[in-house]
Amino acid sequence: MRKKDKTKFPVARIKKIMQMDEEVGKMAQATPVLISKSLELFMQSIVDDVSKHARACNARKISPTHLKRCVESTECYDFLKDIVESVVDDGDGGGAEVCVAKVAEMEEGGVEAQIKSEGLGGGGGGAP
Amino acid sequence: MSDYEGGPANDDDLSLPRATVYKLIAEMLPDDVACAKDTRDLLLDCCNEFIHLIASESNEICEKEAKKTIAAEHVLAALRELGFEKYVGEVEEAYGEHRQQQTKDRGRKSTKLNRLGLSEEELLRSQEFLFAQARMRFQNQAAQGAPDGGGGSGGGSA
Repeated sequence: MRKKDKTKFPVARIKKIMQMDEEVGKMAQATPVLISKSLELFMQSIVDDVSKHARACNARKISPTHLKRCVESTECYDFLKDIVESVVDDGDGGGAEVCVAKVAEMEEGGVEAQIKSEGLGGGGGGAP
Repeated sequence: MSDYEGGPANDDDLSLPRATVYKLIAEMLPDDVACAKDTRDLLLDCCNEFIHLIASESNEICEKEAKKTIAAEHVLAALRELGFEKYVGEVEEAYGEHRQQQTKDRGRKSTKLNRLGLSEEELLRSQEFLFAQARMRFQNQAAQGAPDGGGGSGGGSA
C-alpha cells in the first residue's frame, strides 16, 4: 500500500506519448487509464526491487548502479537495458555479482532470514 | 478549445511530468531508503519506456484481432504477454471503476429535463401558461399607470 494515494499520472499526456509511435492509432477512452494504473504498479515494483539491491549493499541511497544491476537480473525489465547501458557499475557493496546473490538469498529466505542475520530474531539468539 | 499549450513545445520531447514522477518515487520508497538525483532521472526514462512498450504490444495484439481501436482487453493481454501478469488483477479493478464512473457521468447529463417527468406536450402547455401570466401582469401594470395621466411610459416625474 502506498503512503498517499492522490498523485496520479495525466491521462491525456499518456495518450500523447503512446501516439508518438506512428503505428499506434485510435484507442478506447479506458486504454490510457489502464496504462496509467499499470505504470503505477510498475513504478512500485521497480522501486521495491531497486531498494532491495541498495539494501544488499548496505547503501542508504538508490544509485544508478543499483538500478542497472536490478534491470540486468530481472527478465521482465529487459526492455530497460538500453537505458542503463551507459551506467558504469561502481563496484558498490563488493560488486554486481555479490549483491545480486545477496538479493536472491534475501528473496528465498524471506524476511525471517534477513532479520536473523541482523540479530533481531526472537528465539535462539546468541548461539553461534 | 482554448489556445493553452500546456505540454512540451515539441511533440518529440513528450515525457511524463517530472514533478509527478519524482513525487511518486518519494511516496513509494521504503522509510530506510532514499533516491539519488540521477537515479530519479533514470527512473523517469524507465517510465516513459514502459508506456512505449505496453503501447506497442497492445497495438500489435489489437492488429492481430483485426481491430482498429486499442481496447482494454488488448492492454491486459499485453501485460500478460510481457511478463507483468501480476498487474492484471489491479488493472482490471481500475477498469471496473472507470466504467462505473462513466455510467455515472452519462446519467448525470440527461437527468435535468427528464427529472421533471413532463412530456413535451405538457412542457409546451406550461410554457404558454407562464407567457399568459406574464402578459396579464404586464397589462395590469399598464392599466395602473393610466390614472397618472401618463401614457405607456408611466410618469415622467422629475
